Amino acid sequence: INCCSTASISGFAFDSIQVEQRVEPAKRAAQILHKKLLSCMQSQPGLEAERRMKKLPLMLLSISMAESLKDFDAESSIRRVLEMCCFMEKMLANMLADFEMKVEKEVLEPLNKLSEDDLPEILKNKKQFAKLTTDWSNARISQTSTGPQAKQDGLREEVEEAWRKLESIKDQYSADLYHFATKEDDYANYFIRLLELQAEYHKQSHEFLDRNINELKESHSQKGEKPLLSHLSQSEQEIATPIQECIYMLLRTGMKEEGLFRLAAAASVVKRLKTCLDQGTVDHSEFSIDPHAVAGALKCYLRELPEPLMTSELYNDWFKAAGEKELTEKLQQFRVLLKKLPPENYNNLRYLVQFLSLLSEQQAVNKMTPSNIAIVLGPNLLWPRAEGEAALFDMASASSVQVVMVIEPLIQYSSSLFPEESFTYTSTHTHAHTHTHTHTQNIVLFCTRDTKTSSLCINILFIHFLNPLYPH
Amino acid sequence: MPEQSNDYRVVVFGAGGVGKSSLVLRFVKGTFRDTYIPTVEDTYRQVISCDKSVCTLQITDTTGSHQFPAMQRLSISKGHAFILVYSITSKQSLEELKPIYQQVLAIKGNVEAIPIMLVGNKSDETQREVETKDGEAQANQWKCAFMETSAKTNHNVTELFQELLNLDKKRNMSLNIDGKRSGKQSRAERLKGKCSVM
Repeated sequence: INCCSTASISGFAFDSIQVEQRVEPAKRAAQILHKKLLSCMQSQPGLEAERRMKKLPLMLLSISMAESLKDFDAESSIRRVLEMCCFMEKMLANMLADFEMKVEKEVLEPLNKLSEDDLPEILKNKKQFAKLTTDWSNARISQTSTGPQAKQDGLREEVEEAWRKLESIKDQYSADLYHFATKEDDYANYFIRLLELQAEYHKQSHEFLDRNINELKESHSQKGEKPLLSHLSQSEQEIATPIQECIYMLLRTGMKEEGLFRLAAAASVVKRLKTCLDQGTVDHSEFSIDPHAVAGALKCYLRELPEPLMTSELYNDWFKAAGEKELTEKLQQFRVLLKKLPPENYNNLRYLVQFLSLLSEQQAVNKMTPSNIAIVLGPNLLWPRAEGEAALFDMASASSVQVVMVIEPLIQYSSSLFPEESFTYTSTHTHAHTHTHTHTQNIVLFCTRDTKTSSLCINILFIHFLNPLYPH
Repeated sequence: MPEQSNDYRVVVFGAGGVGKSSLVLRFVKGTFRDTYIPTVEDTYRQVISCDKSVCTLQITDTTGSHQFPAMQRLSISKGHAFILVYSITSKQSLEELKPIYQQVLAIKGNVEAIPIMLVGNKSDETQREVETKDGEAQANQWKCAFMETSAKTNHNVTELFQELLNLDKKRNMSLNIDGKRSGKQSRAERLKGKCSVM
């Protein structure tokens, strides 16, 4: 009898018991996770990229958007947004399909191979090994009993045969386990790869969305006209937020700026400020250093109102009043027209003109006389209803001159035309008085004027106290 | 305003305060005003010689402060030649010209046949933000002509308008009505000279 008597699994060259116990869970894990991951896929596995994408729900959404937008005219802002959205959803579908293809190739397929081929093979050998071990033990048991020589020889051969088989499967199984142990890290990496692919996909989608949403929003806010009224009713404010915010910043840092409302500001800063104004999150310190950008944004806002602040309805009446030669009579007609304005328009116009009047008081420094302000800002307050471009051309160039005739006296005689006090001038010693006074009139902005230097500054304390925009 | 068919229309574009009106006024009236008045929109007319005849040079001085897109599109579609003005003291004013150039490009299609002059005005100023080579580089990119001017010191102003007219290859234009005649004369004289040599 040779060495075979001590045959045991402990003959493996490495710590096989532990490894052996991992095979079964690995197979179960690979099997169940493959199944669950497969159910996360939105596209049909096995298809090529193109066809896979076509069947994605996102793609169907994109197609529906493309079909729906056909029913809108070219000027519709819904159409413009849907066009962009349709494209974006398609790109997202594209990215998703791409992601799922990768997951399929790099995670699903390896997992499937593991659970359906590699591990069952090991487990099959394990079973075989157990069976042959039993066979061999049984053969040895029958061998020890006495009997005829021939029978004993036959039995010994049987034992040796069983041992050979056992040896062979042991080598095979041992190699399997060894292989499994060395590959374990690779198998674990499938799951890391899954996370990496997800991260990559989400990052790509996120970056794409981020980039395009901003663009979409910018063009939308540029062209999308938001009525003054909706701004106000949403915020329950008397003065439209963009007007209020811009004037607040200009009062602080823009009053002495030469050519305010005339000179161009960096378009990018104006755009950003407009976006901030739309979202209602303006960092004053950031924009206050660039008064021309603030003035630019304010002009933009006024121009992009669906209707001029001084209304299309009164368009001709304003010109008629401005044509009046007698000043007292002209102002009287202006007052009548101001009364005809809807309250929202009146309040915002008053607020703006009172500020412009204040600005013109600094004309020695900023060169913006009421006339200059009227020239550069007037066309943003009153413009003709567009009736075809050709008509607009002559009307606009003619009306631009007329507009000056309306706006200039409005600024010049602001205090007489608008009886309400808005920007309260006061010495810094009479805060208490002005506070109660202005509060009753629902006033949100304060200026204080240093009587000695005649320079303007704002009492920020009161703004914070009174302005609903600022936390108390 | 009714427009005569033989008007040659030049449109001056540029941001607010770069000196569009000053350039045009210096050219048309020969004066410089130091006052600060923004332009709504002005049109000036001057008779020039064009293809052995005379025509009206119509210069539209646009506003830099509030150009309505529709109006701008119309000015461009009606214009024959364009002066794009920035101030050498403001990098931003050069930036402002980019959308205007794009608009010209979009409306006119091929800009190579259209006289366009990029002008850096206020060349007398010392606080320069735009170097001459930057203006030249921009003009190269736009395939248009370039010049630095000063309406204040009357530097390059007449040259600007003559150069612009020279850029138009379809017409033979000169600012000076007599210039045409004197050109003829000089040619005649040259011929005469040749004759005499012969």
